Amino acid sequence: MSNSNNLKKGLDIIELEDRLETVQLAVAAASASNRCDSCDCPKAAAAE
Amino acid sequence: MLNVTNAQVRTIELSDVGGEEFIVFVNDRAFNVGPILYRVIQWLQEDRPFQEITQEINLEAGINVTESELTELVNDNFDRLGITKSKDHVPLKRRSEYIYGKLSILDEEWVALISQPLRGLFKPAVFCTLAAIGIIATSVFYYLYGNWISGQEYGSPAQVILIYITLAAIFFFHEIGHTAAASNFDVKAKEIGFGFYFIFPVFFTDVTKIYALPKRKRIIVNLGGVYFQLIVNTVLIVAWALLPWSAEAAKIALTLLVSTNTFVLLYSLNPFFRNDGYWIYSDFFNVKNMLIRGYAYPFQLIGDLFKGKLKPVEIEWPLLIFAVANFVFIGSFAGVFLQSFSSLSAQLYDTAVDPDFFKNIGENKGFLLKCLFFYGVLGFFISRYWKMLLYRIDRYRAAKAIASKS
Repeated sequence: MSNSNNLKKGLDIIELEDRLETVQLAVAAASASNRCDSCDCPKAAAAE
Repeated sequence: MLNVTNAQVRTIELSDVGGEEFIVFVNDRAFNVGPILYRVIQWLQEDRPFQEITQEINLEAGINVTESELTELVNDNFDRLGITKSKDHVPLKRRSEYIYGKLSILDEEWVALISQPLRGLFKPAVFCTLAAIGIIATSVFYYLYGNWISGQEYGSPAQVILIYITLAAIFFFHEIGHTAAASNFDVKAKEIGFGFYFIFPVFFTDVTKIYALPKRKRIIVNLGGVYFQLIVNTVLIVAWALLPWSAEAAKIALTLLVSTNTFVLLYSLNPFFRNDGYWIYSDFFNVKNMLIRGYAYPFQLIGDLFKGKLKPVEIEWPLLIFAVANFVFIGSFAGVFLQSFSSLSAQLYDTAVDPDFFKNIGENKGFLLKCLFFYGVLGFFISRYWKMLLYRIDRYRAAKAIASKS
């Protein structure tokens, strides 16, 4: 039992996921378009 | 007899990471392999006869396996690694293609050329000093001038476009941060490109080869991107401080750049959607294939609990915590999605049943384009997951057929 277990473990293969380091561009757009966050903001003032 | 040629075996790149962890690369695909397979490949590359290899393996691992048994097992493994000399062999489907519509921006040579001069930024003293300056500068800037941007005019469309171009350059620099860190540890990044992760546009760099590095170095490569963004923040804040208050437009533009850069930097550290935080968490706790395994792991534990096989000491807590958090994250994402789906569908129904639909089509074109995009994305994911489901059913059936034969 231990023989076959050692052999199985020793010959094990696991494919690893690719390492693609990413940076999300949509987050920048979301952040930049969310700047008008105060009641002093010209857009908010115009709307009022 | 072995199913592979010596030349094929020599194409395998070997890496002993330490701590009984062995990584091999075959055609740029990374595999975690057991110590016996690692030794077999190593000795085959040294042209040692298989009979001798079998004896060594038996001695080293304290087992008793015959040459023909080991040959058969190793042949199976070479098949799984995707190398075999048989002509009708179908290469394995790559299991982790998660960026769609890839467009290469810089190839390996260019990436190496740009990364090499920046290696010095990863000397420990330089790294710690610049990272600390970046964190302090950003915090002080936010503390003193965090609300200064509110109420300011943003400038002309040309200035806004210029800001977006600068942001794109900063995010590209983020990727250079990863490649320069990898280069510092003598690992070449494959490329830098643009693509889509789910529906989100991203810049990406392929640093799969850093699996060959020990944990600490992998984490530094993971941090390379946000580290470079911190350096950019310092430069922007210094430029902001040097400008007189009369240069208001430039100050506003710089503030916008700093705030967006900081937001993206912090977002990158979250561990969901395979951001930098995902790789940092995965490397720190040494959990491989975290996202893929995370989907099944809680259910596997529940299954074990019901079968009375659950051993608390064997629970992989970092994986379990990530898996549960990921389900909560996906759940909230799905909640927002369903809410949008129901409101959009109701609006679409009202628009479509309107007798003046064609008359008002010009007026509604924005809304209809939004629907087209939304349902297009939905259709894409349904077809993709349907295919995945069929593929899994096929695999399950094939495995069951093999089990019943044996």
